[in-house]
Amino acid sequence: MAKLVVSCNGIVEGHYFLDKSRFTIGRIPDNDISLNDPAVSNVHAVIVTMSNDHVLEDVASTNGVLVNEKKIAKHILQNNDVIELSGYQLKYVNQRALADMDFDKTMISNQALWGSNDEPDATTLPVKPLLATAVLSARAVKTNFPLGGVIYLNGGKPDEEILIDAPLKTFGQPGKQVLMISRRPHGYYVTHVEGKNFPKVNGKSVGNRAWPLEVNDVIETGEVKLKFFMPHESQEP
Amino acid sequence: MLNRPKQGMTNYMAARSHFQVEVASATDAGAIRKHNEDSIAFDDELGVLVLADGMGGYKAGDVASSIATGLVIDYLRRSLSEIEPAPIRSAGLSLESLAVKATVEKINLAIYKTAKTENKYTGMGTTIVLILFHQGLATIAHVGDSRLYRLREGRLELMTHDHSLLQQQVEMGLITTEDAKVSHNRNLVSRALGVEAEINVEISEHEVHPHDIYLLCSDGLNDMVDDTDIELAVNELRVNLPLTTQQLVQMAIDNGGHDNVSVLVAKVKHKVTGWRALMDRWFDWLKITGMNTSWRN
Repeated sequence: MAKLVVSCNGIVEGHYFLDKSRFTIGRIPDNDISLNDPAVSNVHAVIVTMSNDHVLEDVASTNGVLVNEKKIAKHILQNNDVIELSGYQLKYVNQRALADMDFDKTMISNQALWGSNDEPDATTLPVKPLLATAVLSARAVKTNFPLGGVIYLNGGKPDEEILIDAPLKTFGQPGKQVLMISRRPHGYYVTHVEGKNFPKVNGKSVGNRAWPLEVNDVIETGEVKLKFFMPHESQEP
Repeated sequence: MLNRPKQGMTNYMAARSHFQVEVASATDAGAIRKHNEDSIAFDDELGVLVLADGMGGYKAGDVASSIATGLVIDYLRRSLSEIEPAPIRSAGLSLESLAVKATVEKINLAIYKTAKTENKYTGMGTTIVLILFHQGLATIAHVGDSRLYRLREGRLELMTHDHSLLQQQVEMGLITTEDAKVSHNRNLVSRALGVEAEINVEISEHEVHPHDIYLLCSDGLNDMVDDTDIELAVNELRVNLPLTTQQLVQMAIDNGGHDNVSVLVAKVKHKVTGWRALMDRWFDWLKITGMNTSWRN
């Protein structure tokens, strides 16, 4: 179960399990955690449990709430987050709440805000917000992929370095000959997209599969000729 | 090391639609899970594509999702054969959409009963998302957090709203869409087939344009790959539909592949008949032989 470890000036003052759907932190004694300090508001912050999430909220406090040294109004707690109220530190410990993806399988929510049959129909609601769900960890992974690019040897602006920082980029003449260069965790690959000829790497056809690229490889499709480079790897003279 | 996605064939669907539809698909268990509980199916004759993401105990999710996709084709084949394609639409949903709705409701009951009668299937359920092309329209139906996107004129649009706790929280303003990205509730759906005897199927009808691309996917795609990257892949690779689906699955795996990932893609084309088909074949031949046919576009 999730808990808060409360400390002041590096001295641990107590452990509190988040065993209620609404958990309050403030100065007055009715709070679930009562912090006796004039800089703490009567009810300073609350933690609301929503299924697997603990959502921390500043309840219009005078002196604010910090999480990992940043001021927040509302925040979904992640394992090892440090909450600061005045001189107090509250460390949130919950092995299940990793910033990384949880591995739980899809399940039916037993805390759904409305049941499946009384949910307002889409047609009666003006606009529903669109939800982008791609996890942050997925983005973080992407930034760790190696970075490379190509230079046109033919069929494009010469000498211009084109960095490929997106997951893929296509080259060639649409409708005639096109290839894809894709950026993956361990490097870059060339793949045939369209046209009667497969792409060539260093003069050899790569066929109908993804071909791993090495620095200084020369890639050809139709009239287009490219050289692959990686800025952080030494180029051959 | 390389987790090669299974790749579907390219098919052409005609059926009741004014358009021809090219289809391709790919599915993979992902980088972490052993079983693939997703299920996909399509039928050229009917012009229907369906995807289901199963949930529940050992292999039960697999059972629920394959019942769903299998029965969609069976039931729709029967009920659509009784509907005359009607060019004039009355107010409200078309007969085809009503047939889709009734079909999904029937499937819900079938899965519910199976789960009730067999111990090993207790608690199983599945999401479903499907699209049916008829006349100049597409009927989209879904339950749960499997999605349907449409690419039109280079822009990717989400056509379904997840039936999930997260979506409900965002709709109620309890959390922002930014918060949603760090939530631990992404695995909780608020509706699924097979859980209760009755189900509220979300259904909508849309006009179809030539060159539209429709993408059905399980949350293993949109949880791992940003919408902008999905848009990029579909835009850039649309001439090669099997590669498009393979690339999307590969991107999900490269980004971590925490879940099963499935994609089913349909590209809308003008229906070609008679002399038009012959002309097209002739132009394809010119293209293959390397002649310049760009004046034709």
